[in-house]
Amino acid sequence: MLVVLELDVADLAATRFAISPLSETTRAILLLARPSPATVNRPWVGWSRGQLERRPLRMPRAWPLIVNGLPSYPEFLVPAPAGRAPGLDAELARMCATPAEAVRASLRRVFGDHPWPDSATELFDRPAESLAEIAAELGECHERLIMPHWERIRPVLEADIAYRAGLLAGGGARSLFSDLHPDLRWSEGTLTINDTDERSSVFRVTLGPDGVVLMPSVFNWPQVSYSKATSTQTTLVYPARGTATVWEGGVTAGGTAAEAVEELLGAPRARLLVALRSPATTTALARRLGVTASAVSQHLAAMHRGGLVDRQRSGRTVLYQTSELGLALLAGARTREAGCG
Amino acid sequence: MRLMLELGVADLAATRFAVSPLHETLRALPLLASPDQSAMNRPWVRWALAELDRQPLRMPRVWPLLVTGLPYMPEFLFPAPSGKSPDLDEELAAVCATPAGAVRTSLRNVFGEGPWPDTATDLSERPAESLAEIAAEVADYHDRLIAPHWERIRSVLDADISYHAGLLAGRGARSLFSDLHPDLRWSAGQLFMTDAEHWQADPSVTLGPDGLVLVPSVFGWPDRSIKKATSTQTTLLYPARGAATVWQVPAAPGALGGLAALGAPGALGALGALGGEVPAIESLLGAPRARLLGALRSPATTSALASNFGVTPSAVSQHLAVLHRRAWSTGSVSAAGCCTKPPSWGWPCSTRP
Repeated sequence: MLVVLELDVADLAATRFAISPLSETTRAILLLARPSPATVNRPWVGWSRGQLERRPLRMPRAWPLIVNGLPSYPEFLVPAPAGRAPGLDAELARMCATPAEAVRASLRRVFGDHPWPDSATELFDRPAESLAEIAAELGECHERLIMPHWERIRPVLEADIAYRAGLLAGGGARSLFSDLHPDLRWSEGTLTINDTDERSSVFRVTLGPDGVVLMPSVFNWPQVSYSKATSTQTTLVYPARGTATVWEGGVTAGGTAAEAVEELLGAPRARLLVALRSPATTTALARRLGVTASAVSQHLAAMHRGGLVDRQRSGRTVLYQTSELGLALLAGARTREAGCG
Repeated sequence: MRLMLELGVADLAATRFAVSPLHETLRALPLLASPDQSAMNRPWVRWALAELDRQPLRMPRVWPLLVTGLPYMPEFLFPAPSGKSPDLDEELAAVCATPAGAVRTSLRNVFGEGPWPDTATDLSERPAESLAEIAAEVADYHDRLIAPHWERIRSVLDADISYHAGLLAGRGARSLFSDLHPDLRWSAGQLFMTDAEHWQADPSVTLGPDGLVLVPSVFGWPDRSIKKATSTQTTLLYPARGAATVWQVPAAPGALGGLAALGAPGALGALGALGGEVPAIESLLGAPRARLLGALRSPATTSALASNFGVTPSAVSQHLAVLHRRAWSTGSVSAAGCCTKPPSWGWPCSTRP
């Protein structure tokens, strides 16, 4: 199926990026429900299932709405983020403020003639109370399953936006869209998504006011998703660059450097190379590794000169990340270790 | 009176930023004739004039084309930068590649019925040869008067683009334009520019293909200017954020020693006007950190600072870390490398002892 978003010049001028913890939370719930989740996020899925076995998380209201076996879930659960990076609470407050009519319209669109789960019926009947209960469930889910990793997820999302901002400044929105996802095409004001759905139909998205909010995602990897109809702005979720690096060092913090790399670079630089598979600032690294910032800074300078790490600006901070070359070095070391058995 | 640019969605999608050494170089030239045009750039003008006193520079072709007192400059001297940051040679090659017809049209637009300088007549008669001579003059002038300052100018231009890229990503293009210059306003898909008086004759702009190229400028400060007609893309020049910091050079041996070696005592006075602050800060922070603080009124990389002061980068890095923890400087990074610049709230010791 071809999905078409037609943007006029005002829509394009309003199009912006945002980071949404709420969107990541709902995408993560979908991921948990999937029998064979995408490879890159499997470490998190395994970890989460372990957590849930130890202490179950009950989401009687939110779960049936999100994991519904249908092509989409109710759009009001993830309103377009109001700013660049709102906190979860701000997003949940916005969700709770959805007008009753918008809630009902969305439920009708999603569930239509299909059997309605109880929580959908209840939401239809008493939207305000139901939304507050859903917000509490999603808040708990976020706290237990997403928060412990947010310090690693967020820099990947930030680094993605910084990279896109550079493309936007250097080559305009058309360079941006041509790089966002292989299924996306931009041509003369029309953004086309080649949906995995095999039907040969064309679906025109009714745009919300004020363009599109582009949201990088770790948990939705490798797909691109969009809100088909919306009571806020239209959102488009795309896979963040470097998603694969978030869980590479294992789900629990740390991970051991390949010994071969350690031998080559020395222990401190090898640890940095491993740690930087997910982008971080000098200060964060210093804190994580328990060394001084100036020591980290000196190693990073050498590693940057040697092409092992990349440097990127994100707002007022500087993010470092293991470069392609650095990753190749780590991968090479691992392969050799395996080969030596 | 307002100037309106109607950008189509394809134009806006192609709109991008670029750094242009050629734009900066040529924009600086008229300032030598009338320094009051840009008070902020006066330190450079004084330095450049002293430098020219010492050893004159002849620009028989370029000067009469740009220093005319007329409202426009020939557009073909300012081709839209082809990439994000072309070097001067690439840009001059683009100038030399201007088709003869475009050169003549532009000269007619600029000089019209008025008296034509010889160089314009010559350019109209034998464009290719003339353009090559112009390019050589510009390159020579750039080497002597702009290149010594380019690293600092470039840092400011890169930092400006980084800042605006963040704004573009976080708030969209519609929030971008009014932030570029107070005269610019975006409304309902149209870009408005409050008038400079000479638009009154003809407020229309003929857009080139592929949207706008937004070019931050130090020497164009504080004005914004747009090309009314173009043989390449339409460029919009706007004052770079923090442009003023370029000329606030401290009384540091590396920076001013270099100028003194050029034999420009006037420049020392002008650029070192803030030197009196140093002792007070010195007693507070110690000499090395005070010197760094002074030097960082214009953004610089750790390695550039180290080579400037003749010390190791790690020493600089340690001092900066201390300064940074104390919020005396803000770390930020540009495309070119890691930069550090002073805090926005100003300087701790602005009174002279």
